[in-house]
Amino acid sequence: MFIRFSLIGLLLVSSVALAERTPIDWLESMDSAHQKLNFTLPMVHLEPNSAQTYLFEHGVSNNKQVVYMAALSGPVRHSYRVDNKVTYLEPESRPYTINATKIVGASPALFVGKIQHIIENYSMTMVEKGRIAGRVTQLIRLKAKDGDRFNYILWLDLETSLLLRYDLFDLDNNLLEQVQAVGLNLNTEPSENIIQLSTRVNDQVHALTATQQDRWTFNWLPSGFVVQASDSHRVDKALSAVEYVMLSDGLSQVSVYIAKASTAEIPAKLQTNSGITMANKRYGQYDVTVVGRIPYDTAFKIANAVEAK
Amino acid sequence: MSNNKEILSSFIDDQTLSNSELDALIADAECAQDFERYHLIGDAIRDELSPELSLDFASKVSAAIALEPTIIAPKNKVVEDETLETKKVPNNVVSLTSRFGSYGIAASVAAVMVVSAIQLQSNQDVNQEIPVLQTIPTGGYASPVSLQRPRNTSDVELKMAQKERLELQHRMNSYVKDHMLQQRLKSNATTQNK
Repeated sequence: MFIRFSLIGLLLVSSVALAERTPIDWLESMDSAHQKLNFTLPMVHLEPNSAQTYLFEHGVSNNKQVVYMAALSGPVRHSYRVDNKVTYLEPESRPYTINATKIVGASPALFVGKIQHIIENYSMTMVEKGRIAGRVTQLIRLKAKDGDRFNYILWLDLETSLLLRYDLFDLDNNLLEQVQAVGLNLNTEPSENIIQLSTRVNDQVHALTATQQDRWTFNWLPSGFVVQASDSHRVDKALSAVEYVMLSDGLSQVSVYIAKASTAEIPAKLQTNSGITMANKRYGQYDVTVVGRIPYDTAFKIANAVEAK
Repeated sequence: MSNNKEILSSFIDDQTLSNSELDALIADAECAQDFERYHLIGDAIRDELSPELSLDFASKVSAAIALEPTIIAPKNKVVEDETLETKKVPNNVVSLTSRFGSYGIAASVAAVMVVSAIQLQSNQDVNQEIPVLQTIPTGGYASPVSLQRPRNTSDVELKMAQKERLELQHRMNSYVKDHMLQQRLKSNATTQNK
């Protein structure tokens, strides 16, 4: 009986709240839902030449936040985060653990903790209601305030505010990426897997080996972008070390590589089929390469803005 | 082979094909994969995926067709026929390994993101936009954009020594891979770079 009353109460409260919720309210409740709830999302990740299925699991156990992601098809590939330690287990390399606040990749938690970045760089519009994973969702469109980054549409679960789908579009409205849940399992208690991961203690954080370097600066950067890190490292065993700068606007990262000029002429414009852009520019004896999921014109402007300190 | 792709493209675009062209298409397993993939992506974008999404639809159909004669065969021969027919199946069925080899691991960081065939711009027409990006229109059909490559690139490609081009491609691919890795290592590190 009590349960029924409280359910009705909940419905009343939520319908009142719904009428007044702004996109920012939605993002804030998404943030908190993605940090507090125990849930499992089977996901599909579509890119122009690939379709991947994976599992996304989140839970709180022993006062620790645990996220677990695992590919459901193909090679066994999984990763987990316990508070601020992320471990990647993949066939290509030995398992490694790093200090990080997120598992990088297509993830329903992509926008968690990014409200400030979103407010600064995107205009938000509530669009309409949709249906994802059998649940009613609210669509929110994130349109970049300038032409220097791509646009998103988010689908948030009406009841829990969890992100159930996002689409990434380029400036011509071509779909670059779609990440979508095909189901949602909500649980009151964390799963066995989450509890087990939360009690792991022996994951040693991997020491990053890179030579510090601070030789480069930019006379222009797209609004919101700052230098996130810079160093000098090898990108491949067969290639000599390059100088590296990472730029970030909080949501997308851009890598800038400065290498000794190669003998071959490098095409100014390259693109992968998943929308990663590469802009190349030669400065005498250096080749500058800008890599990221941003519009080509922006990448090229960044390449043109590189200056030695 | 590439000729078949052009035929497939026209077929998808609803153009009338001759019988011989259709036969060539039917015989080409790779084309069948392409056809299936384009439509699957198109369906996914238009939210029309059937609940039981099966990437292996074509091979199931071929397998079903291959097995069909056994159903109408006299009862006492069924066992024998079945073994015979199932042995033939691998010839008709689209190979799983090649299918996954092409795009199966695309979501991973380490082995992905091959720069789609290095496209070259000749110096004369630097401003000309080359349609390198193989994306899909948000509405309508997922048509195989890659087939409409500009013809003149092949001339330019010849000018660049094969070795240099491979090295360059390797370097560009390494950058993309490293970019993915660096995002893991640096984009939200908690202890440094703040």
